[in-house]
Amino acid sequence: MSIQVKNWSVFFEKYPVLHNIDLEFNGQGIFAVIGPSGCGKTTLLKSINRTAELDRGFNCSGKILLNGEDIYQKNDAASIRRRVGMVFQTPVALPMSVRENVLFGPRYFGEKNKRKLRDICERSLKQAGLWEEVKDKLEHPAGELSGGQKQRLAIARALAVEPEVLLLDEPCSSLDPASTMLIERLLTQLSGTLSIVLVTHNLFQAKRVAHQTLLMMAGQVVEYGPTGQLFSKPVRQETADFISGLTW
Amino acid sequence: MADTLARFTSLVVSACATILLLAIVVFIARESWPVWSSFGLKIITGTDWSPLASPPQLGLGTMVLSTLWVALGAMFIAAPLGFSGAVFLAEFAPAWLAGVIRPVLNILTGIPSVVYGFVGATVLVKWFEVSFDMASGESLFCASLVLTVMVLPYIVTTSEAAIRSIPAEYRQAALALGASRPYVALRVLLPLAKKGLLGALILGFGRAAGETMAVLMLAGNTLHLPTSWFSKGEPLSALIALELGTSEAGSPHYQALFAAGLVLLIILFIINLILTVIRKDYGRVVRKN
Amino acid sequence: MISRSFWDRFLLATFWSAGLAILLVLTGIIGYLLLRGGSSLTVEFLTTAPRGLPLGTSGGVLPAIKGTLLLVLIAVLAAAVPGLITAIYLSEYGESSKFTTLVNITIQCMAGIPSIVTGLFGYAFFVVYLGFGFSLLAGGLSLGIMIFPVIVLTARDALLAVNEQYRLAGAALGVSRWYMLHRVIIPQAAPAILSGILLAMGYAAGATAPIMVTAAVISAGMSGGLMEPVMALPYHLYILFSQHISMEKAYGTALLLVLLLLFLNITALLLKGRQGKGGY
Repeated sequence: MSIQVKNWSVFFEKYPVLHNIDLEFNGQGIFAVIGPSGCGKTTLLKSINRTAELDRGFNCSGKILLNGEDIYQKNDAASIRRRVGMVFQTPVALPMSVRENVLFGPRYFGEKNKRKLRDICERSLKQAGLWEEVKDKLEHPAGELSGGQKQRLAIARALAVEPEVLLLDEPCSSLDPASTMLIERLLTQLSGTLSIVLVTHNLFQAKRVAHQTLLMMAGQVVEYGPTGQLFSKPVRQETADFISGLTW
Repeated sequence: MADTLARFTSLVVSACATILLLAIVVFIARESWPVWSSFGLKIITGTDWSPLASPPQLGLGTMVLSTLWVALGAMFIAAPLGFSGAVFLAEFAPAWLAGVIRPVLNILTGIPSVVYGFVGATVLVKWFEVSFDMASGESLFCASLVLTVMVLPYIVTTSEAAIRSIPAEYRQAALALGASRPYVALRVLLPLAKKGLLGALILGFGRAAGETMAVLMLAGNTLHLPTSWFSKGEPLSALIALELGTSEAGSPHYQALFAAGLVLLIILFIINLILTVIRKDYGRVVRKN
Repeated sequence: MISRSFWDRFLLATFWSAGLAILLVLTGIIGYLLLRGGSSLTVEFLTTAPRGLPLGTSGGVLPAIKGTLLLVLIAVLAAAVPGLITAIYLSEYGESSKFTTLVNITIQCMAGIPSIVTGLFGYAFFVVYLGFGFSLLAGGLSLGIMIFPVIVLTARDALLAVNEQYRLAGAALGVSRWYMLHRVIIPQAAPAILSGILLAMGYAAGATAPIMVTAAVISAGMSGGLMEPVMALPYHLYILFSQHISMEKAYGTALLLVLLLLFLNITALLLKGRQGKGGY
């Protein structure tokens, strides 16, 4: 499993957001993306699952390859989005039951077999660490769940279509510490089988869970390497300045 | 000093406006009081309307049924049409086209109801007579169709606002799973906008129930109890318009027509009440956690 | 896979059709009336009284035009000033008090009253109780009651839309509310207020139900007397059609009405777009 970003630039109405990004995310594990607000982390993520183009004025140049395949070559963005799952900052519960939330993707793509659907639902919720809490409440409206639960539901929903990659954009920023810890543990578990790209503004979080970390500033890659090394022996001065708030 | 005077004057005028509304309701209730006290609720449920007979039969049941039937029927057609139009404007229409359709909706609300009735009568009724070999093509269905067109602008505008107010993250989350935009509009946006859509329908129902000219020219105006959507009927508004001039002031006939007006008023006040309650949390279409 | 993209396309087609249907309705109505009624809109039609047997089969609609104009004039005179004053109260002086809420709800309710019920009240009060009889005055006042809430609501919204910064600046200078109002806020809101009044006039011009029971008759002179019954365009259209007098003239009358209202509505729309929100 590999994502290759080659010379990738993005403009919104002539306003540049990403400049000539060159990166690779190879294999399973958690890749953290850190950087100041507005540096383009979210746009990078949205480029990979092809939702950036939904915003007005989107223009891009360069290539993004998923397992060697140029994802912008085809016109069918939907099939790419199926292979690249994404969880957003605000926990979103679609206006339906818990079960239907998880099965939203599979149903859209035509899965009708009742038994299969039941299995998908259970598997995804277990993978997201939510099964025990909702197994008796599957028919309840998902809006009743707490913020942390909704976010795990979003993860389950994304996992239900069996993506190759999971992107998360600051998934814990509106959650309490307990929920955050739960999700971090869960991501670590998932990283055994999935490639996970995690945008976070919490440097401690990156240090805790990611095996590789990418620092971005002003739409460009500043430094990218093994997490431990980036935080203890950063190569670039900008990196050292950025993480200087971190004292251990 | 000027401020105090201005404040006082405007307060007085506003108070008068409020009193005016009260006066209207009181007046109508008062004019109709005699028949309410002698016939009671049988006025609404009775289906025999022969006000000039002796003793006068004053049953508005047929008219009430006709009013509700045309209005509900119109909602039945207007809902899918209006919601689809709203989704189109909010999600799919190119900006220039939306910029044309919105003023068009505005202009449609300005066309007088008598013109809608007239066009409906010359086009629709004729079409019904020709296609179905009917002696006369007027029916409750015909009226419902034209009422749909008349209330469509209100439904589309209100529904579009409701859909637009849905936060972007819902669209994002659903689209990120690979679903198409039409699918997301149907399965995510419309359910989320439920409250606003309901408000739009209730608003439309109120306007349809109160409409006079279009139904006068299209519903057939018979006093038999309608048995199907294609029967003819005579809504309350048409009844009042047709018979008020020929009724003798002070007679039971006259008073019963005021009772009909009161019933219409009550229907509309209830609708307004429901709308106000809905509008209270209509701004918050989605519960934020 | 096939059925999924089929449903997607079907849904998309549905949404597009609904949008286009809206355009079709308007162009259809106007086009239809132009087609059938265009030939009737002659100078004679606009400048002479109805003639023929039965009355209306030939000639024109001048008295109806005059009647409609007079009715609208009275309605606006009766409703505009009180309406504006009430709007001023609601937007400027009534700070979220129980009374303001009451007035707001009342006006909202009044806006929802069916026009026939307003006509019913007009008949009972003006025609019978006050003894005006079937008259221009009774009809005009009834229409006035009908459009009053519309004027209040549009004027109130126009005033509220004026930039809050102006009020704050005025308050900071120690200038009275009223001064800010008539020097700055009302002029800023003027186009939108005017737009609202134009719309109300259109509403009054096209309303049949209230005048049907208070003022309008099949045939009346053009004396313009306040206590005389009048002819009016919408009622004339209704009579021409329902009494099977003349389809040709009916189309002409309908077209004339629609053109008049199109003119009012479009002017109102253009005015509204020009409302100044402040130099920001």
